[in-house]
Amino acid sequence: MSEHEHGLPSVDARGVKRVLWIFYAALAVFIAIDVVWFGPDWLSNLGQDTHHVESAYADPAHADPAHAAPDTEEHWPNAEDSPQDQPQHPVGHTAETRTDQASFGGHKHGHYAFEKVPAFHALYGFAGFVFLVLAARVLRLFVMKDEDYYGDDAPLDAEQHAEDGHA
Amino acid sequence: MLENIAASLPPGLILLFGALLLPLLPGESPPADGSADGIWPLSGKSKMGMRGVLMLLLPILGLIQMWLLPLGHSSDVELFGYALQPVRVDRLSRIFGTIFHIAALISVIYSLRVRDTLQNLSGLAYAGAAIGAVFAGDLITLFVYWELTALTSVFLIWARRTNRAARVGMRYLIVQVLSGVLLLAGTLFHYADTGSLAFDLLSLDGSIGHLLIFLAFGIKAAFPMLHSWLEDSYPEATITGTVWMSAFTTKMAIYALARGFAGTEILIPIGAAMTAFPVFYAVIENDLRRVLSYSLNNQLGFMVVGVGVGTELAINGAAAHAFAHILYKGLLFMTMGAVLLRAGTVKGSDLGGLWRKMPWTTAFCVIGAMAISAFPLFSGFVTKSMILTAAADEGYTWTFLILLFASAGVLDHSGIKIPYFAFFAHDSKLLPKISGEAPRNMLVAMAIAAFLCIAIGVFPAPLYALLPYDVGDYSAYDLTHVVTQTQLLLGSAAAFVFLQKKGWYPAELRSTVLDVDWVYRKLLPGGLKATYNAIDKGAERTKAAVGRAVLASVNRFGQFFRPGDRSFGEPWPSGETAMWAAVVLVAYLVVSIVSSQVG
Repeated sequence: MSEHEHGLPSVDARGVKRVLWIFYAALAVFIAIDVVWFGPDWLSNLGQDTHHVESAYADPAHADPAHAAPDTEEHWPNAEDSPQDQPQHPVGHTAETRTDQASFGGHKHGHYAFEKVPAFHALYGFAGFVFLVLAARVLRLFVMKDEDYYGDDAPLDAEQHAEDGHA
Repeated sequence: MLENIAASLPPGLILLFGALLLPLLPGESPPADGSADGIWPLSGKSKMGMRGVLMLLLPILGLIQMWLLPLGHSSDVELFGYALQPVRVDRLSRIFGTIFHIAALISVIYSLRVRDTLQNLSGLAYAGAAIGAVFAGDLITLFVYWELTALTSVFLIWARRTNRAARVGMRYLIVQVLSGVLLLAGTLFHYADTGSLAFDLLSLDGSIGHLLIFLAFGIKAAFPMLHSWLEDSYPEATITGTVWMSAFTTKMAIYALARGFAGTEILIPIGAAMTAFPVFYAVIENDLRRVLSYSLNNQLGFMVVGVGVGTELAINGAAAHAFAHILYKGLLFMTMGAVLLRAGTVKGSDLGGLWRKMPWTTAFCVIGAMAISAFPLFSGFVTKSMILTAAADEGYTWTFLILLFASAGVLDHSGIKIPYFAFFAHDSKLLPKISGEAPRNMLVAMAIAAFLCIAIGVFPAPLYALLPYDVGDYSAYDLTHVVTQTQLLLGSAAAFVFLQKKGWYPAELRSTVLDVDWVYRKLLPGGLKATYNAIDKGAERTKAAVGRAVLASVNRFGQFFRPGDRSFGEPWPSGETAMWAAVVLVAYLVVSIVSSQVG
């Protein structure tokens, strides 16, 4: 069990730095879009109790009652009253077509309120990844054995002899 | 005319029987210098030969024949009074049939230098059996192909011709055949209940037959706890064998679940667990082909969730993800196969810096890594999003969050770990020994798969048109989705950078990582041996104890009949004899009275 420590770094330090800068810039851009473009819409809806649920026409059996009706003026109490032109099946209609209400920027769609928190996905990815790696290191304490733990490389007839000898 | 010829033949048989012609054609024998897995190692020109031509022709002919069959085409036969349907063509079977043919063609190109006919033959026959299975309209036909996939593919492991491969192959075969036996048993129960052998929606309604069939599918789909055959066997097959194997068996099982158990709700937690647990193993596993096997298991989880959700969008998502997955997973296995061929190992602890010697393979690996991680403009992005959207549509919040977490996990093991530790990181000691880039035919196969990964990501419409249900105006490309998915991936990658800088990312160590197969490889054999020894020892002791007891009682018996110190030869006193005669007579009297009363 030797650690991975041999040879020289294969990419020079400046190259690594350059790649990392590009990476940080990309991360910043995608968080910035979230904050600057979607942020106003998120803020304007923050005080309100209802949140956007685009899949109001999803199977009502699973839907949260709070999510059952769209937060628009056209509020219908039950399915019978819904206009016939409402799509009846979720396929193909999750891509948001509703106009945004914010004065600036776009409307971030999603099924859950938490998805609309700016940079939620970046934070969730970061936290999830750190948890994953640290948990895997703990897992290693329990499940890591020597490379030839199972002895699968031993000659087959040797095993047979051993068994015969035992018998 | 062509249609009539096509209609007379079940799909898959062209590959299945065409493969049998391979040994009849003239061809070179495997290199005698013991080069890796029967692959002709010379760079430069290599004759493809007639066998190579046949190998290329079979998947192409098979694909043409399959597409000549119209939707709704079926053939019915009656065998021993049972109504069978060996062929049924619909949109669900056709998309799986299409990708299986494409996978077979790519695998063939990748295998063109393999001079070991056994591998090429079993690979083609294996593909044919899997194609036959997805067109099977009844459970008996399905069972036959189901078992054939096991019997043909095991030779891709045994072809390594090592002690390890012999053991792994046997374990693989036992598990696969067990799945087939469960399928047959379930089919018989199902037939007894319903009188029908048709393979349609079965659902878990409490019938034992359906449960057995569900378990049979679950084994091949590598459900949690039934999964470890996959991680045990796929990394132990030959360089080309693993590429073949990664495409068929598990996706055939996904097809079977989509056909038989769409909308079965228990599949959602099963699938979610499947996406999550393998990623932990993938972090600490050292064998990079085994890392990819855990990754394969994780990807199957997404498809199982899609099947469990069961809406049109979800089934479309499962089928589309299977299609994209076969391509990028095959691509990743091909790049690791090329590394194994050139470096002689795929242990992360021994590799690094290979981009210097294998730049093309590196580039293809990075494309595969981005496709599986679901970066926008790559295939995984346009297919995985359908499953996540469908799960959220139906209100499965926890499942949605687990799938998001698993997506971050995919980025770790397949997106970063595989390319990073193989091609970058620190220069390997093996680097001077690596002669160069992968052979040209392997590069062509990788290039085709890489091209398709990008093509599907950029123009998903042709794939969407193939899906079982109408996709409508669904599109993965809107600003929200692109922004959130990219954020998720970049945020996870930032965590990798952070953990590396802190020195917290686990180093690649030479090791064996225990999984569920430990139960039947160590615990049960060890337990059985211990139990046998205990019983053996117990039996010895019991035998000794009983022996002593019998001896003692014989002695006591003897004492009883021989009061004093008389020996056996001496006559008994007449009084004593009379008394015993009276006792016997009274006993006889009692018995006869009782028996007369009873009678």
